Amino acid sequence: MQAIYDFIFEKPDIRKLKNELKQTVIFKTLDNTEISILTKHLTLRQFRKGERVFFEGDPGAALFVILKGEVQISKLTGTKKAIFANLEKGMFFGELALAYNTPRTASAQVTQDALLVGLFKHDFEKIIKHYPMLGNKLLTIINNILGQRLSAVIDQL
Amino acid sequence: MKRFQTTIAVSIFLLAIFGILLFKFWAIAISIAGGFLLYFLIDKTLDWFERRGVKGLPAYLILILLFSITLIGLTLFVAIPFFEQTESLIAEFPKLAENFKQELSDLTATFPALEKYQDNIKTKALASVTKALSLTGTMLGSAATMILIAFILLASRQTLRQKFTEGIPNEYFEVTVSIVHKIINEVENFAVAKMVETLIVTILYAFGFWAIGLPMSLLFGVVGGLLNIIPYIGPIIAAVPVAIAAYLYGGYTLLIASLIVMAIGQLIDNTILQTWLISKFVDVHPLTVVIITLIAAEVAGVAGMVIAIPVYSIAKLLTVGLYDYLKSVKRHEILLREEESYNKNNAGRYKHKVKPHVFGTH
Repeated sequence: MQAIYDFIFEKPDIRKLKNELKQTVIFKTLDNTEISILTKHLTLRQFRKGERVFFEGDPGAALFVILKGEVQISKLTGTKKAIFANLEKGMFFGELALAYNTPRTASAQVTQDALLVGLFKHDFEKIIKHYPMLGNKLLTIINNILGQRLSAVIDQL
Repeated sequence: MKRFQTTIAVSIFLLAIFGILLFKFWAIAISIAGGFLLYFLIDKTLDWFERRGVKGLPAYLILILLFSITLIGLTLFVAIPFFEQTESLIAEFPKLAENFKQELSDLTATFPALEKYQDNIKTKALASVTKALSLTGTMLGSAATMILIAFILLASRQTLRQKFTEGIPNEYFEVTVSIVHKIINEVENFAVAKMVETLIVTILYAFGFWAIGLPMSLLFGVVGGLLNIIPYIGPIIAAVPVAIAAYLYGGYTLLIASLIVMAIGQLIDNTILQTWLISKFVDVHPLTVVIITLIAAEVAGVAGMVIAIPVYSIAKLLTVGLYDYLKSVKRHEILLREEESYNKNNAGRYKHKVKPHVFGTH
């Protein structure tokens, strides 16, 4: 019976995805219902080592969460290259795309075969419109993390 | 890069073939479009239930219940009267045709100048009646195919989005998904706007015809509403059978009354419905709508007129998307060249580094 239910309503892969999402920095405080809603608005994507998720200057449209693998965030200015971070499982990047209509400020390259999950701006807007409580919660989480990142950068200056 | 260019070339070729086939077999095109539309409607309804906490099996059961109630309601109050009225029209057709011929002869006796046009008027009037009924029949006959397509799409509802994105190369995944989202949004909005417009026009016509005492008011309302989907010429094709029936059933008084009903319907449609609905849902200037529709009529006839606006919107979005894509390709190549040269000169040395925890686990 469970197999039939799964086949029609919830694929086993999706159950696994929900569990993995609960272990990420950005979605760990969400409850089961919220994770279920969110899963419908996410896009899963596999990247091989060396592939680019996006280049600096690209129009940003999605936030990415790492479910597996590693991603390097870097920026090239003339002959200088700044590596901002090497991100691992559970971390996320590209969140500015959800908040502003500005091009990507840095490039993201996969350094270990990765499984990423993308939350697109149009889907995020849909969540805010149809599930304001969840939208508000996500905005607060992103806001807090952006604040923490900003203070960390200021500390390093 | 080459793989992506080949994919684009093959996609454009397949789209062109698909486009030609659609224009050639427009009834099938309408069925497919209707199937997708039905799927979107069911999908939106399921979303609406899910937002209210009803999901999975209960949501599907409620949907099936609502669908059954709607189907029974439509059968009892729309389909049965519709087919009864159609049957009655078919039964009365020889008599009506005879009356029409007689009326036409009387008219030519009063105005001899009309005699040379008599055959022409007869042929054109009968052709219009046949065309109006056959177009309406084709549209209704596609319903079964639409339901089938909608159910196939529903069966893979949960994985449809994932399946669609699988074919896109990683490098252009983000930009492609954004463009496709805009296209789907535009088509969905246009379809919803057209559906609401058709429903309102059908109700206006049916109610108006019923109010003036025109027999088979529902049949003529449905014919008028459905043919209204075809811009400009649709209402004219629909007006001919209505005008003939009104004249034969109630003389000049009913003819004028029915024409007034249709004129009011068109006035409301053109001034309120189209201005409000289409401009609210679709981002196309009214003048562009007219020009595009006229060009489409020349190129692909009736089918072209129906799908002109969504096709134009898609083409516009694709052009902008393609331009952005070409700009991205150029920029990516420059960035990759710069990075290659940097890697050669500065292997392993970083100019600036931010602590990884900044992006991490707080």
